Amino acid sequence: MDTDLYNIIQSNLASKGIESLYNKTSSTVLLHEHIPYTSYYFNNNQREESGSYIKVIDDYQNERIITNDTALDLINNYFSCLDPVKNLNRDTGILPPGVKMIGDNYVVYEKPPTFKNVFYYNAERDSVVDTPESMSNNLTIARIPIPWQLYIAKFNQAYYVYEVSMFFMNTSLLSVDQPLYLPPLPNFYTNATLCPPIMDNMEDVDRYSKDVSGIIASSYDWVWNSGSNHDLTEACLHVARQLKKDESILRNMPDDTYTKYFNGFSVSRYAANVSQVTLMLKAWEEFSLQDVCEMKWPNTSGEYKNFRSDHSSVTEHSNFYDHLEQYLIEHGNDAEDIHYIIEEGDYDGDDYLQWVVGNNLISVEKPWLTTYTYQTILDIIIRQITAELRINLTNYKKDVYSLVNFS
Amino acid sequence: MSSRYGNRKVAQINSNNISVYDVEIFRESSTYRNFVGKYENFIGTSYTKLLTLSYTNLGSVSNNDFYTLKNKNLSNHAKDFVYPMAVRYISNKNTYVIERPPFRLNIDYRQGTAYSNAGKFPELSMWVPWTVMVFNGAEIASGEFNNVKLYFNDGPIESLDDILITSFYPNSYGDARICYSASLSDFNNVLSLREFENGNISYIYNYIFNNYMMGGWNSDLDSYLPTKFYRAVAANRTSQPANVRKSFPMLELFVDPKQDEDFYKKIASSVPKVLFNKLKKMFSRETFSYIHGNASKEKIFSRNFLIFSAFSLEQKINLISELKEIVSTNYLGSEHAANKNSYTLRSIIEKMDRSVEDLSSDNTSITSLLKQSEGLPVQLDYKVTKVDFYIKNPPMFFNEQALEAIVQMDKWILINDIILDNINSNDPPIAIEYDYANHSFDVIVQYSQREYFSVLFTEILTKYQERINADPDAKNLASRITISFFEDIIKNGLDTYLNNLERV
Repeated sequence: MDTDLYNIIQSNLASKGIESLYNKTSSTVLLHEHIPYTSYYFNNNQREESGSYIKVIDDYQNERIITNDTALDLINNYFSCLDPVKNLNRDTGILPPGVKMIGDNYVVYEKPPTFKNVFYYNAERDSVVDTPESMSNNLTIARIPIPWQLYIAKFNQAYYVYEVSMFFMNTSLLSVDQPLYLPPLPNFYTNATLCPPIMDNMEDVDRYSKDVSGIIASSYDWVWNSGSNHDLTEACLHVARQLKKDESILRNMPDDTYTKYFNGFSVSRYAANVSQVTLMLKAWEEFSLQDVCEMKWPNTSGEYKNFRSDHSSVTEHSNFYDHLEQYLIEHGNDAEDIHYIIEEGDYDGDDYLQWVVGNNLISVEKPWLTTYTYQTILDIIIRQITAELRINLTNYKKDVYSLVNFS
Repeated sequence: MSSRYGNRKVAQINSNNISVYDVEIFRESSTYRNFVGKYENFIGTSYTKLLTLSYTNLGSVSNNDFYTLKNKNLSNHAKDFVYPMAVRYISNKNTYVIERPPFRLNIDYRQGTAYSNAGKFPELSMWVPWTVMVFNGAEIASGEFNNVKLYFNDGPIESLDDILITSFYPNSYGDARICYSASLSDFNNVLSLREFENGNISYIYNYIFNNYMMGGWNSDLDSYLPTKFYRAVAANRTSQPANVRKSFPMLELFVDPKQDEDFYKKIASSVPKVLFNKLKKMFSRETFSYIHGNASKEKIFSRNFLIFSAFSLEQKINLISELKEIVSTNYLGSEHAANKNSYTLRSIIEKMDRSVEDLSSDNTSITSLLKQSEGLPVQLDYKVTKVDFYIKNPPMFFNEQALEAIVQMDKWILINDIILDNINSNDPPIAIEYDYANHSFDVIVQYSQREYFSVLFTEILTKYQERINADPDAKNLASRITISFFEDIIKNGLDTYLNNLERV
């Protein structure tokens, strides 16, 4: 009976021609119609055996396959720019209050008004003589009140700080349209970027956690715990250059002192002298926290580390050459040679320009009239980081090749 | 009957466009299992498993558009907003921990359920202690608010090992999740979608925090704490109330406010006499047992609010400190002692990270490609293609969820390519036959399930016949099985039998 049944079924199948319909292809079939070609398979349920993979084939038929966790992370990264809330690539650690934004390779945080000690060593870094006598003779310690501060720290992929900016604000950062001001302190460029300190040893560099909380601690120490010297003092000049005496930290200074040290210096000066810095710090010490929060502070130079005068307005001025004879005489040339020198152009044009500007013979448009807001400055910072860390704009081919070369 | 597993996507990208597919895996139908499964024991081999892979083409985007948007988003929207007051931690899974110092709050509480006609609680304010809100940024930016958690603290967060106390205000669950219910039903009307698309955490946080604190509470949910804590303390020290008082004075005051005459008077004078008289019995241990009392939750919330409003800030903070002390010691008993680490901030963050990982794919980056509301013309080609996937000689402990673990990676990549190629062509349907024994696979072209079943059936019969021929003793058993299993075929013929299978 069993054999009969089997035969019945077999003949039944054969009558339907079933076997002829049942074709199989070889398992070696490989279909690549699109070259270059990338295929992502994504499964975020079971990371260990998720089956996630990336397969990339470039123009030269190089094939690369990346699997499981690595693939999953790369796939997420590839599309992450589209997420409303961007994933950080590592946990931040416990953050202090006041973090305003964490972005790709930068963190923005604020600190409330406080008193800080400024250690101003009135010599340039290269001329520092590290002896107790020298230190005490040249060191000014000032305890100054400072208003709300906003810090922007840039860091690299290994989570080391490589640039810090600090701005002054009248209140906590409440809006992206809020203006940010220049701290008139030694070692700051006029765009509020700190001149990077030199660390004594690797321990000072490495003792911070390699996360955003470590970046914050490290950048804060850069600003306040690494001392300052006379290398870079242009920011200090801008208290007097941009603001009236009675609206700045110099308002309680005797008029004769102010006139002697802070009035009428040339716009082309890029450094304060030691007396100016020391006098300013001493004057600053006399104020309260409330005073400094209500006070005016200078504008920053935005994108550039120093204010850049647009001298074309001077050189193209119709009266620019009217003062050339006087310049040449003052520089010791004989009167009978002057016409010849002018005709031959045998003089230092840049020096003449500085002389004209320095003596206010032709007025120059002041470059510090722009007040930069948080939004504008962060935009600048993001563009800078993109260039500094070579975060290139992306396109399909670049992505394919970076994945092919991924290791 | 089919079951869905997994959270899978395939993105196919070439120099022209990106296509995204959602992949679902369905378990074999019971019909199929009945068809082949019966023979498994008798033949002595595992029967061929059948899964169905469903590829849903979600849409495609031109490569130009995608990269334009990608480059534009490189600078993202970070400069368009700043974080709220105190973001204290962000995990790499986007879990945000946001802290807020104590503040005074006007209590907005309906003394009944959300849709009841119960009256509002009288105008009263109270101190809210340090709060810590934990949520996933990506999740709430996509409009999912059901996983937002609120905790109390007695000071600012100092470390990941800090213990946090689950919110014990109304409309919060025992696991600290906030219940927004109807208060967020006007989501689209009230909120700026653009702020959500830009991931403006500050906007979102302020909205959800304010919505919870000031959106109007009710008694829809139970009050979990500090009843639970008090019960635990009392259970440990039932016979020594004096000790409880000494160790946990604020908790004791909360349970038995009448013991402190001045405090009791403060409560009495804070609300209209009618309301106070209604709740009066609940302020003394002698007339109300917080632990065993059977008062309604509406009344318990009202009672608690009166006490909270009488607490000074220092007292409220001390209450939280005492609750933290209870968690960090063993007052909650051995069961809780083992779990006390689950109250730490570290554990709370890890749990949130895990819950988001397990959530549906709607929050994944790939899907967000198709969610962009501006500047990205998405071609929606919604089309579902199902591909049968047979697994011959399957592993002993077969688990449909782990299909990718069964199929070797190199084969898996080929199979996906082949399937996508078939989907994007006009070719007849295909099926995949994967042999787990040697990890080879075949592609069945011009696939017809009915025909495949026929062949499979033939193979089974052949093995069946071989078994009987080889073992005459099995003949009697085989006869019984044959009659039982092949009855339909004998009666109606194979053709009818297969047609019936298809209809099922």
